[in-house]
Amino acid sequence: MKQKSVVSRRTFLKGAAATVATVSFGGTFFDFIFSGLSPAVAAENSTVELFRNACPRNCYDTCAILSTVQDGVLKKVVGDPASTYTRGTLCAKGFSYTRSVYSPDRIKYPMRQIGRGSGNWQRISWDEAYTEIAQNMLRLKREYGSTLPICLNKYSGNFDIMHYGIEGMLTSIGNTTRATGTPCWPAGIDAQTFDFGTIVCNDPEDIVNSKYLIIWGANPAWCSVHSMYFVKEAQQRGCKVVVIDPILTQTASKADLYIQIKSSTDGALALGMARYILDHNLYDGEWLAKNSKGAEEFFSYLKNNITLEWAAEKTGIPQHIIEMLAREYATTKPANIWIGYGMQRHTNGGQNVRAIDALAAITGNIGKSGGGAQYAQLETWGFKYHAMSQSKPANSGGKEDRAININNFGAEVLNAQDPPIKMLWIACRGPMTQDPETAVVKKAFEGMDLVVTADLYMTPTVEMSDIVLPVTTAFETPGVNVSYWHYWLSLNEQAIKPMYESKNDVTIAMELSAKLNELEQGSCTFPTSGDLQEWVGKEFSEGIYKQFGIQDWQELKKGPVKAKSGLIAWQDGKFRTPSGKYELWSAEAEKYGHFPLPVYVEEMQSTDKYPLRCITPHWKLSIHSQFQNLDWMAAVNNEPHIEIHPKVAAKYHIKDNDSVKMFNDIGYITLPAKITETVSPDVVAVYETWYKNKKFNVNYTVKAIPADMGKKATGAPGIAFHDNFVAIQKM
Amino acid sequence: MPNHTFDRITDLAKRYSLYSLFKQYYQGEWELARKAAATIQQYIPVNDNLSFQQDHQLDKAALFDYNRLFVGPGKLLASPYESAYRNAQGLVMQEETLFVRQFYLQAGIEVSNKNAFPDDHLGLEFEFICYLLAREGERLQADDSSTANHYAALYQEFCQQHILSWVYQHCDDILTHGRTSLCRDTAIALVRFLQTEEANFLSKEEFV
Amino acid sequence: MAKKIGFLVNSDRCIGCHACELACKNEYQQEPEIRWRKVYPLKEDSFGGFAREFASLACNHCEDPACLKACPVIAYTKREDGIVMHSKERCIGCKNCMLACPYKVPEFNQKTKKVEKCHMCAARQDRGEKPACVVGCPMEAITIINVNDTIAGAERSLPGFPNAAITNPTTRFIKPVVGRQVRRDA
Repeated sequence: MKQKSVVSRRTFLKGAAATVATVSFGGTFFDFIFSGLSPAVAAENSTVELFRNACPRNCYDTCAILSTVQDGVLKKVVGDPASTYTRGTLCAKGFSYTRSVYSPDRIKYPMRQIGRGSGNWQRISWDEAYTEIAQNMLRLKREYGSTLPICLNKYSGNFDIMHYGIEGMLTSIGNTTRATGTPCWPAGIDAQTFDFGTIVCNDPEDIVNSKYLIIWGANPAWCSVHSMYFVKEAQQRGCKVVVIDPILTQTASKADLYIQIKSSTDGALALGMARYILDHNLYDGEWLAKNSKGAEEFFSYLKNNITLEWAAEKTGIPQHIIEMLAREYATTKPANIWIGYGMQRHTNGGQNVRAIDALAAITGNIGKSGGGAQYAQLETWGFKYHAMSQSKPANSGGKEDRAININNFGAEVLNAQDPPIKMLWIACRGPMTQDPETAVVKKAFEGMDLVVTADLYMTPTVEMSDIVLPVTTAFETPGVNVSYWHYWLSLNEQAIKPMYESKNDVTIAMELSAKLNELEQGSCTFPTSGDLQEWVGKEFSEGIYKQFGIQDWQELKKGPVKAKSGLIAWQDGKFRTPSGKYELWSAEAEKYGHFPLPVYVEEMQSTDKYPLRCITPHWKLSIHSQFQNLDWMAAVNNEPHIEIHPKVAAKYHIKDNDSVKMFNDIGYITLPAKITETVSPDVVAVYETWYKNKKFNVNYTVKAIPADMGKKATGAPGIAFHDNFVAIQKM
Repeated sequence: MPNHTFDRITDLAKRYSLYSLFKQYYQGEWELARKAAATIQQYIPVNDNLSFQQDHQLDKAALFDYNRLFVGPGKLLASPYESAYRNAQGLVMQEETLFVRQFYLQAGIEVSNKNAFPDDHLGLEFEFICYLLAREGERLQADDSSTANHYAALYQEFCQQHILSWVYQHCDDILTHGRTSLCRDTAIALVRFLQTEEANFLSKEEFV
Repeated sequence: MAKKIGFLVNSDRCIGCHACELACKNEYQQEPEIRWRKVYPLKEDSFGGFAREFASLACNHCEDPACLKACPVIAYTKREDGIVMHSKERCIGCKNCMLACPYKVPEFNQKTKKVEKCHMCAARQDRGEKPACVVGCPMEAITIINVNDTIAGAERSLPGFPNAAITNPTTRFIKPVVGRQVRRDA
C-alpha cells in the first residue's frame, strides 16, 4: 500500500516528543497520560535477525527451522540446511507458520466463560485466572481429601521437551488424575516392545542403502515428506519400493509395486510370506540361532496354521503375488520394512506388527544398514525432564496418581469414582475434535466444576471450557526438540515476543504455583520463578551431551546436531527383551494377555447394516486439529471429502461432489463425495482434521474401540480408529 | 490569549475528551460506553435519525457483546484492529500494522509493549490521537501556534490515512453483529463524531 | 545460443505436498487467494494405472508470451534470460493479460487492484540464489534449466496442459511412471 507522507519533514517533532512523558499538560482539559503508548526509545535502524526454531508438531520430521525476524516481527521461515534430514526444506504446514503466529484468530487474553458452551466470555487478568483456578483446586482438595478430582489431558499439540512441565505442574499440586496413553501408535509400540524390548528404528537417512523397501501402512508422502526424498533416492539407486496399503496413497502412487491389501489383514500377509520363506529355506537360520528366542515355535506355528491359500483368501492378494513378494523380500539384501501407524489402528494391529517384525527377523534383516523393521524411536529422548520432574507436596491426600485411558476419555471421566473427576486441565490437546465418541466427551465436559484449556485458537474444546489461557507459539518461547523418527536435536530459540498476553505453559505453571502458595502455603511445589532459557538448559542430561557429541546445549545455537551413534537399530545385537534376544516367543506378551507368538488374530468385519470400513488417515495439510484452519491452507483446500470407489458410488447413485451422509449407530457427518479409484470397494476414506467454521468432525462416527496392544509401554491400548464401520447414503 | 485561540482550545478540549472516552472504551473500559454515547449527544446536536436508546444496560449482556465484538476468544465479530479491514485476511503485524507504527514514530511515539500488541488496535490509535490533541492544546496554551498547527496537521493526516479508512466499516460490523444497544449506540456515536471531524477537515481545506 | 531458463517440473518426483506453493507464499508473504504457484492434481488414469499425480505450475515464462502481447501499457517484459517480468508500477489492472494467458497465470490482486504473477524469483536468481519453490521442495522436483539444453526425459507437455504451440512455454516436464498395481477391484 502506498501512503503519502506529508509529515516526513517534521522530524523536529521527535525531539519535542521525547520530553513529553514527564510534562504535565496542566489545566484539566488535557490531562494526557500514556497507557498503551509511550515515547519512542527504540533505535530506528532496521534490524534483521535469524533465529533457529524447531517445529514441535506431532510429526516424524520435527524440522529445523531458520526464522527471519525484522524489527521484532517474524517475516518468514525456511528449512535449516544444517540438517541433512530436512535438507533445508519444510513442508506446506511449516511454510505457513507466519499465518499461525499472526492469525487474527489467536486467543489474546485469559478469559472466563459464563455458562460453558454459551459463548458468553468475560476478559480476566492472569491473576484472576490463577485465583479462580487455584481456589477451585484447593476447594476440591478440601472437599475430597486429595487433588485426585483434578484431571489432566495433555498430549501431542507441542512436543517441545519443556512442555512436559505441564505434567510437572499437576504433579506439584499432589496426586491427580491423568489421561494416560497415546491415541495413535501404542499397539505398534507394544508389539515392538515384545519383540525387541523397545522401539528403535534406523536413521531414516539410511533408507538410501536399502535394496528392497516395503512401506507397510505408512504414507510418508503426506506425513513425513522429508523421508520421501530418501525413498526416492533409494529407488534411483536400484531399490524396489513396495507399498502395502488398503488405500492407494500418495506414497503408493510412487511405488514400483502397490499391493491393495484388505484392511487389517496385514498379519495374514506377513505370516503367509513367512510360511513361503520357511518352505523355501529362505530364512536366515544363523541369525535366528544367534539372536532370537522362539524361532522353532514360530516355524511350527506357521507349518501347522498358515497356508498361502489362506493368506491369499484373507488378504485379497493373489497367492502368486504373495509368493513373489516373499521371495523378493527374502532374497534381496538388505531389505527394509517401514511399518506405519495406520496399519496398527486395529483390534489386531499389534499382532499384525509382530507378524511383520517376524519377517524382518527370520530373514536376518535386523541390525543392518538398509534393513530393519522401522516403526519409531525414543532413543534421542533421554532428557532430564527437569520441568516435568516435580515432587508432590506432603499430605496432599491420595496414594498415587490415578490413570484413566486417554483413548476412552469421555467415558472414563464420567465413570471415575472415589473421588469423581471435577476439574479438567486441557493443554496441547483438542478432545472435542480429536477424540472418538465426541458426544460422550461433551457429556464429560458438562459434568465438570471447572474446565481450563490452554490453547492458541477458539476450538470446539475451548468452546466447552470455563477458562481459556492464551499460550505461545514455538516462535515466542524457547524450547528443545527431538524427533521420534530421525536422529537430530534442535534448539528452539525465542524469535519474537509472545503476542498479546500469551504465555508459555511452563510460565503458567510457575505463576499458578505462586498463587497456590499465596492462598495456601506449601500447596504447590512447582518453582514460582525462573528464566525459560535456563529451564531449557536444565533439560539437558549428560547422556544427551554424549549421544550428540556436544559439551553444552548453547552449542545448538550454531545449528542442529545429529546423534553420533545408535543410527542403525540393534546393530549391537543386544535386545532389551527379558531374554536379551529377539523374541518371536514373548512371555511378556503372554503376561499382557496376548499370544506369546505373532499369530493371526481375526480382524473386525463389516456388518450388513454398516457395510463399509471408514479409514480416517492424516491429511496432508494438517496435523490433527492444527494448520488446516489457517487461511493459506484454506486457499489450497477448504473442504473435506469422502473418498468412494466408483463401484460403490454407482451402487448408491452418488456422483462427484454429491452430498453424502456417512453414519453409524453413534453419529453421522455429511460431506461431499470424491469418486476415486484410490480406495477399494469395501473402504471409504475421510481424512481427519479440523476445519475452522465447519461442522465436519470425522470422530462423530468413531467409537472408542481399543486396539489390541499399548498397555505395557504407554499405559493404555491405542484406538482402533480404522475399525470404524459405517453406512452411506446420498443426500 | 486571543478569543479565537480560546475558542480553539475549548473546542479542542471537547474533542479531546471524546477521543479520551473512546480510547478508554476500546482499551477495555467497556462501562464507559454509556458515558461516551451521552457525551456525544451533548457535543453533536441530535436533530436527525440518530436515536440513542435510553436504557443502556451495563449488564453482563453488554459485556459479552463487547467481548464477542472486540476481545475474543473466538473470531472477533467487529475486530478493533485496522489490519482486520486493510489486510485481506486480517493478519496482524503485516505492512498495514507497520504503517501505523511508522506514523507513530514520526511523532516520536511507539507502543509500550511493541511487537506484543499490534500497533493498529483502535484503543492505541485513539490514544495516539489523544496525544496529538493534547500536545496541540498544550502548545496553544503556551501561545506556540506554529507547533500547535503541526500537531493539528498530524492529527488530520492520521485520521485521513488511518482512522477514516476503516473505522466506519468497523462500526458497520458492530451494527451488524452487535446485540446490545450499548455497543450499537456507541458505534453510532463514534460514526457521528468521526463524520463531524471529517466535515471539519473538508471545511478547513475550503478555507485554505 | 543464449541461455534461456525455464522450470523443469519433475512430476515423477512430485508428491503433491504443496510445499513449493507454500514456500512461494512464505517467501513473499502473499494474500491467501494469490497463488503464483499451484499444484494441480492430474487425472488419476493419465499415465496407465491409477495414481495420485500432480503438475506443479507457476508462470511458464513463454517464448511468445501472450500476456506481453495483450498488455496495453507494456507492463510485461521478457528478460534476456527468458524470465517474463511484470511491472506493478506500470500495470493498470485491465486484466487483458489474464484473458490472454492460456495457462491462467496472471492473477488479480483485489488489494492492489493490479495483476501479479511469478517472476521466477528473478531478484533471488540475480543474487545467485535459487527460486523459493525450488529450494522449498522436499523432493527436488522443481529445477531451473537452460531450455536450450537437452534434458533426458524432458517433455513439453503433460496431459491436461494447454497446447504448447500457442505461446511456446519454457516449462518442461518429466512424466510420472506408475508402478505395477495389485488391486482388489478388478
